[in-house]
Amino acid sequence: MIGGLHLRFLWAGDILTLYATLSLLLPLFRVVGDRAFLIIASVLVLSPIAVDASRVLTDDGFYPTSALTEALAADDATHGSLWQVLRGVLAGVRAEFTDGCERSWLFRIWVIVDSNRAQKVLALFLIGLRVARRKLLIDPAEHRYLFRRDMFAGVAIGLAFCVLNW
Amino acid sequence: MEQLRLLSTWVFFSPEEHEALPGTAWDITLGPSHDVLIDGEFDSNFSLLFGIYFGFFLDKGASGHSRFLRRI
Repeated sequence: MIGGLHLRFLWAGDILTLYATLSLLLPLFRVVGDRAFLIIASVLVLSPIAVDASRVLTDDGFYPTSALTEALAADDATHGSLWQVLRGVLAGVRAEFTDGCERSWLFRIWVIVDSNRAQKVLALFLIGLRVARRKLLIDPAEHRYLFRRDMFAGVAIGLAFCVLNW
Repeated sequence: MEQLRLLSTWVFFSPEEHEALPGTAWDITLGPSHDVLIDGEFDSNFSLLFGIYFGFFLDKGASGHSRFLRRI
């Protein structure tokens, strides 16, 4: 609720709403075994690739964000470009700020859905939950090899995909 | 750092306005490294840390699950 108010009335860059909503699912994973945990997290991490590939292969026939995209376009057509409204916030005062908040929350939701953020965030929640469950951070020295291996693999994979994405 | 472009309002300027700003040469030089190394890279850290915290929260004491339900 606090996140929703934050998103709508203060700052469209809000992350609380998504985190709070997804956290409601986490207790369900208490009874899931380690192996299933990793499989679910892996499927979630990779699912954005499947979603985006499906969109490309079907030439936008499968496009989960299409309704939101149309709603944003209709909003732009009716009330003017969101970008111009946000630019107006820079030079404006309360009225411009209110306009900016009123127009940008839908764009923020579009960004979250279109970038498949919910799946990625839930996957990392689960990986974090497993780290805590295995108590890996209680004695980091004991797991030095694991952390070092993950660090090198993470940097290599992450950097490669960041460059590809750029 | 991640929100630097947004919070400095840089993203709202047109290419011509960017050109007119002092230090544009630095933007051209440092922009790609910001894109690759910083921009959007902290979301995963926040999510992972949230998951770790949540794990500690649930495991703390015998009634982590009921404490969670009570808080929501």
